[in-house]
Amino acid sequence: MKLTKTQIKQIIKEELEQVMNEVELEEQEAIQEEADASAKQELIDAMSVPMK
Amino acid sequence: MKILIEGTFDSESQINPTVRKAFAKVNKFLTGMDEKIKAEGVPDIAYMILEKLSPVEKEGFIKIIKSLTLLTSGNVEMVRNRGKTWDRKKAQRWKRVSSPVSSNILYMLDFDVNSIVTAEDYKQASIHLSQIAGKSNIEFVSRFDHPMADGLPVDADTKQRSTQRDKARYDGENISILYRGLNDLPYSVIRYMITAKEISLGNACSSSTDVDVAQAFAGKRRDGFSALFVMSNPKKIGVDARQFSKFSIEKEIIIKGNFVVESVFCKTMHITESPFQNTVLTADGQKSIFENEAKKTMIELSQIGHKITVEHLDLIGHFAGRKFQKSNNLYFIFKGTLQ
Repeated sequence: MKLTKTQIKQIIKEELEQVMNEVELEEQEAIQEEADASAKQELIDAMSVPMK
Repeated sequence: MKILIEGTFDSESQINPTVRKAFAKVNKFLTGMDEKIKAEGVPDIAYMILEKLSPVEKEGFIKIIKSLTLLTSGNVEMVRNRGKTWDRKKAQRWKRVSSPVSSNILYMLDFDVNSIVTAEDYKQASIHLSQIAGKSNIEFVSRFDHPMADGLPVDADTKQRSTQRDKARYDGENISILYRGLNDLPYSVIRYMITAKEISLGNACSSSTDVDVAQAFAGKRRDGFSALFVMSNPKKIGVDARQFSKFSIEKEIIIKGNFVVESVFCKTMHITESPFQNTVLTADGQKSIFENEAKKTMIELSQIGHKITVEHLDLIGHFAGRKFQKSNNLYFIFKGTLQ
């Protein structure tokens, strides 16, 4: 199968976009995990306070 | 006055069974007693129960009272950080931080209530609460456990098995459901709470047997989100602080463990309403936000802000959000089981 230069460029572009999206998603997940860990601790601290 | 010297804490995470029973009895028989009588001195009934304890058991009882006192009316932050922020200049005497009944009992047990609460006391309280709050320390006490009871297992008047009846009442009403209110929560925390299927309660969480106490606390501050945990407690986890807390009106139970969320409800804050009245959205607590539209909507509503505006109503539709009260706080109720 012969590919034209334009097609190769398109394939590379799509692959790159996919990889970039995955990296972005992983980064977002890592940020969210970090935020959740901090929120979890904040919640534990709030719950030890008596309800007065 | 003799001062009991505290040794290192037991490696066991259980309260001595005799001490646990005595603690439950004192709790039970002080319930409903006039606060003035409790403040005057150790009530006779408590005296009769406590005098039977051995010196080691008395020390165990003192440990419980001291730990509960520091969490309920001492400095919570210092219990949390194990006394690291303790300041000699701000340190108070035990008789100042404890409730009148706790102070009287400590005095009766030969503990010097005029001594200063130390950093070590906070450290020990933190360790102790962490050891005991996750266990089932709340015991059933029948009227026949009263030191002056004649020991008959049957009620003389009704000829019924009163112990069983007492137990049924105790199981049904006493601590089978615990409540915890939270106020002023930021978006990050409420988001975490909505997405979590299981919420850790930390080493010592303060809860109440009274829903009104928890709801009043949830609605106390309006600068952030409000939330309420409605926790069924089949294992009777916790340490009963109701009779020993300086703020007995809070009906406080100290608990530790994990709260498994079964349902999440979203409504506006209204402290006089029943928690499940006028809910706008309901979600399955065990489903993730990817499989549950209601959870996703709750997060989107929270993103807009904690006070209900037209934007909130636009998001879910004015008809769907007709029970929302504008300018009131968003209020999330988490119903589940304590494990």
